[in-house]
Amino acid sequence: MTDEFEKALHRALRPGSPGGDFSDRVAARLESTGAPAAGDQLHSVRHHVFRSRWLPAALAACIIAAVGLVQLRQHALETARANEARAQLLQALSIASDNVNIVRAAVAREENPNS
Amino acid sequence: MLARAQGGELAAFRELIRAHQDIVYTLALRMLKVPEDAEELAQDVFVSAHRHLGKITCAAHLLFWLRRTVCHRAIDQLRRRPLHAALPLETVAEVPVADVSRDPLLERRLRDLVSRLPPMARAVVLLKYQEDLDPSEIARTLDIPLNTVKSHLQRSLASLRAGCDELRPISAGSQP
Repeated sequence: MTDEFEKALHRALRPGSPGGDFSDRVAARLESTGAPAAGDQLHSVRHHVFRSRWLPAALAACIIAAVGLVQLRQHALETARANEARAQLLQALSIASDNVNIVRAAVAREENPNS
Repeated sequence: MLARAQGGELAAFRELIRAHQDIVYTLALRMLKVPEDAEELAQDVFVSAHRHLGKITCAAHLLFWLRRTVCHRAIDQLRRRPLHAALPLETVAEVPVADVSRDPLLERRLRDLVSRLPPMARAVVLLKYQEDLDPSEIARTLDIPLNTVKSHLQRSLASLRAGCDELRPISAGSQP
């Protein structure tokens, strides 16, 4: 029974035909889409290999450069902030020093009113 | 012929198409069921084959590549189709085959039952009974484990046999 059934299945599923001119339609499509000629395959494969090797490397280089630029800019901003803070500190110390001098002069005058 | 086609000779590539068009188109139509979709898929596969000719090593490799590509692309298309997208009856076409049938009614019923199998099971059955591949070749063509092929075949055959039993026994004398 199984053999008969499988034979019937074989017969039922024998290949058919797409009808005339199928190869012409494919050829017309190849010509209209400007598909590269088979002779250009080697060039195409080489191009693909070139692309497949260099594309990830180029992407990695771009990412590294972008990260480097961001870090450089952050470092510059921090340096500028530090310089500003140092200038403010120096100014504060200068003002404090002036005030101390004024107080010291006033105390000295009180201790020696004749001088 | 393959070497000439690889050398860029379009006439040789046309010969390759003529030699393999029945296999590719029939697989596409029995997978997709719609003649326009099958024609487009079969053409796509040959256009793609033309682009990949440089990587094809021999005639057997080309045949393997064509079967593999048409099956995978058909399964992908079927997965993208909405589940509820039922095909109108008039669009479900039969492949025109040479009329050497012993039992046209049974064969039509079998083709109908095969067309109702799930996509992967249908591909397995077509590769086995249309293309006459053994299970290990089917596994390599569809990129699935050998045991999966065997279980698809077993389940599909049981389902097809049950469907045919509703019509009439294959061989009345061998029925239990």
